[in-house]
Amino acid sequence: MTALLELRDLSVQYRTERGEVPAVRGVDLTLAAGQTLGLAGESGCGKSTLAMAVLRLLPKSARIGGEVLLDGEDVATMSWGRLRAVRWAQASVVFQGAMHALNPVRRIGEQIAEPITVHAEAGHEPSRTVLRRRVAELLEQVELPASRADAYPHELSGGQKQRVMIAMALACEPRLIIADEPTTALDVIVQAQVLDVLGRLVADNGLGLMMISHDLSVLAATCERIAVMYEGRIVEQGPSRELMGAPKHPHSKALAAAFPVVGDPEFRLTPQDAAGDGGTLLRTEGLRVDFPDRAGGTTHAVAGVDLEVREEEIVALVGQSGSGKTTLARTLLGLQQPTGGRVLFDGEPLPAGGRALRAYRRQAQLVLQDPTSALNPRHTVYQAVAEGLRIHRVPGDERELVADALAKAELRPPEQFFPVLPHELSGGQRQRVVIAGALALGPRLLVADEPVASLDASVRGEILALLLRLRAELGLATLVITHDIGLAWNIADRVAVMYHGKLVEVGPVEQVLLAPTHPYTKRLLAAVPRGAVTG
Amino acid sequence: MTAALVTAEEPPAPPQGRPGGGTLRYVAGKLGGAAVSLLSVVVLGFVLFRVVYPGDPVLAMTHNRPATAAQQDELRARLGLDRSVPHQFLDYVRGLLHGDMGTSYTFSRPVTDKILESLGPTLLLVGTATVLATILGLWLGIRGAWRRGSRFDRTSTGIALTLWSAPTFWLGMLLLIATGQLFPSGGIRYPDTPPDFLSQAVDVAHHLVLPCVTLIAVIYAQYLLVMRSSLLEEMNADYLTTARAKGLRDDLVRRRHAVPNALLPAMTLVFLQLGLVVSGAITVETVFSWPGLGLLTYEALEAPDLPLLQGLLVVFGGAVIVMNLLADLLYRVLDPRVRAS
Repeated sequence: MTALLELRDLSVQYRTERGEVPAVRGVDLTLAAGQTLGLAGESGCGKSTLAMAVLRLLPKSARIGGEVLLDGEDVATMSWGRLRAVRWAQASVVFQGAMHALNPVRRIGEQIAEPITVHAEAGHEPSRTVLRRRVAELLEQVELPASRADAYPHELSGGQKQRVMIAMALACEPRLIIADEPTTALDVIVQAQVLDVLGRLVADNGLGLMMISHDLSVLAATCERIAVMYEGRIVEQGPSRELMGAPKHPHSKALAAAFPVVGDPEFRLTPQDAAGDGGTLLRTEGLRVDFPDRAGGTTHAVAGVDLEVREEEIVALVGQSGSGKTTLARTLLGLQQPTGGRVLFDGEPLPAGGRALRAYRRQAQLVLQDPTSALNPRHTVYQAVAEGLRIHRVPGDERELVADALAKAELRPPEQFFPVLPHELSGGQRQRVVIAGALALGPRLLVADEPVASLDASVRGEILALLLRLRAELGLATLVITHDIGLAWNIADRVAVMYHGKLVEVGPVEQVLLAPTHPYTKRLLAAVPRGAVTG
Repeated sequence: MTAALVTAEEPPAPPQGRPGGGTLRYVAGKLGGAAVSLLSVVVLGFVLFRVVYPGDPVLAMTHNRPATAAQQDELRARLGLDRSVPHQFLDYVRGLLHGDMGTSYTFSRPVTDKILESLGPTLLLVGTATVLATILGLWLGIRGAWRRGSRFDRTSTGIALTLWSAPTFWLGMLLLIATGQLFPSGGIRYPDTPPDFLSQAVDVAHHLVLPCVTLIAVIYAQYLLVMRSSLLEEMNADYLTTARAKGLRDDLVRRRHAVPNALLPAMTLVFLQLGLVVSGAITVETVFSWPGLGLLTYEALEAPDLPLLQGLLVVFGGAVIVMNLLADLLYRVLDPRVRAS
């Protein structure tokens, strides 16, 4: 029996100005009909290039070596006509639909129906009613109402768009589905639902699935086998359970460590009782923030929150997108005026504006999610760090202060980083620059909004370790805002779970994550891939 | 509590309220904005020309002819210039509402008639040129972007930029010389053409060729460049990869998916340009003696003919405002995302 998909010594090089850059270097993989295979790796490891090579979707600058056999037929030698016929009908792709994989100006019904019409035999194009019925059927399979066919992509949520992508992939009843980061950018609960739908459809129809992700736990939840890719090569391959349980290659270990098992003490990086018994640094009392919505009503983004951050404490604020956690953070920093209630810093109410607010902002600094967009691409590292010092007219030698801040963020030797522009740095180094910019002002509280969400697995651990050391050495308190429960388990002392603008459960990490009492917390924990909650 | 938990994430709220209510409010808002802009143009026109030409228009009108003080006073009274400035303004606005823009000093005829007379030829010339230039520019832009860096792309962009930087009058004269006697050198029709429709139309078309070609050559570059760059922006969009993966032919990917999205920014430019249609051809009309608004403006400026200039300003400004309004409304039809916000 020929395999559904077979890669033989596949290699891909990109021609660039700097010469040929290899992306995939000699990969052998086999996928039989009905099997599921996960492909894991960090950004830049070549996993997406590999996926695109299967349907020859790579840009012209790519040079492909080796063979890609789809049902025994080499994709590289197919004529354009044959290739077009094979695309989607034999193998289809589930792209990252939450982003821009759907055409923004066409209705999703049309987009789902398009491949059906394209692949119909000449003269046998299905009629409009047949198409409509088929689209409705497909939407039903992914648990969306048929009426959504008339919606435009922007009218759907991220999870719904991803379901549309899946419905579209099934349109021509292919035997192989390639899913490229299908749940990245979705939060845990939605991710669990989408994975559930995808897994069920693949199993019901006996499809072959190749799923690509940087998240090992997502792959483990859906695939029988996992292959780990690193620098263009497959470094480890095996049954999911084995690979997750006992990774052999150092890179697989790093990947596995980035998605901690909640409840496993090995992943608990923060020492017990590390938090000092310091007094309360920041407190909110019945904080409310309302926004007018489009219908003329009011959205309660923050609906009465009492939160406390003690000195030298790391608190994780956990919740889904839309739960109001970012609004809460903005209010804590004085970037958003509360509608009701108040924020107390060091026992004093937050000043409403002017000089006093500026002085407060020196005390509480923000670290954003994506260091690439948080840094001005045209400012050097020195300028980026010195900007805050200049705004606040911090006394002292500017060069010394900048060097000091960079050293604290562990960019050593700091002088070497002064003239460097952000694009010359790695993702982890960029995040360190952002942190250095915050540290330069000598704050007492860091508010970190998803500080590691856009970083690769291997860098993630370093940044978390840095946050912990800053607390130990500088006595910094940190409020970490995240949808990643594993992150809370990694470093936080206490967890606050936010849902619909309210804190539904607050307490020490061990208590909230291991013995949750609120149904929402339970649900959130259950949605973490593998449901790996022990204890 | 658990019931509320079933919906894990809320989709963006569907448009609320009465169907079409949002659209009506949107249109009303845009109309209101346009009206305010138009009023500003009227006020500005009135004030501006009195600042630019502070002297007494009656003296300017009679400076070549012997006129007694009584005759001058009578002329002043006839033109309404003996009243206070605010009063003159009210008279002017009242007239405007009835479609009366006053009387031209130089032609001694109602400004409205004069403008309407010249409007037709201008719309014909600039309208034809803009439509053709848009089609040409968009087509070349799409082809260039799709094969970026190809010989075709480089040549067509180069030619377009050269023409864009050439002075209009110079290009017009060059064309005149280059084509020899093939096309008439000026005017809109010969006086001896038979009056039947067909011969008249052929004659006008014959006269139209040179000014039209000149105008197209000068303006198509902007459509080309905007279309090219906005398509290049879309070229790396993920949904194009999706379309290719679905097995669409390359030209279908371009026509169905890439171009509709890339057209959106280009639309704005096309409509801005359409607004300038009526005023945009002053040089071309002057070079080819085309009896349109451009030529009329040139003549009014020479005089100077205040009521005529004021009227022209209102028409030019009004055209830009109306076209912008149309662009806003059309954008809403073309881009579903604008409808939502």
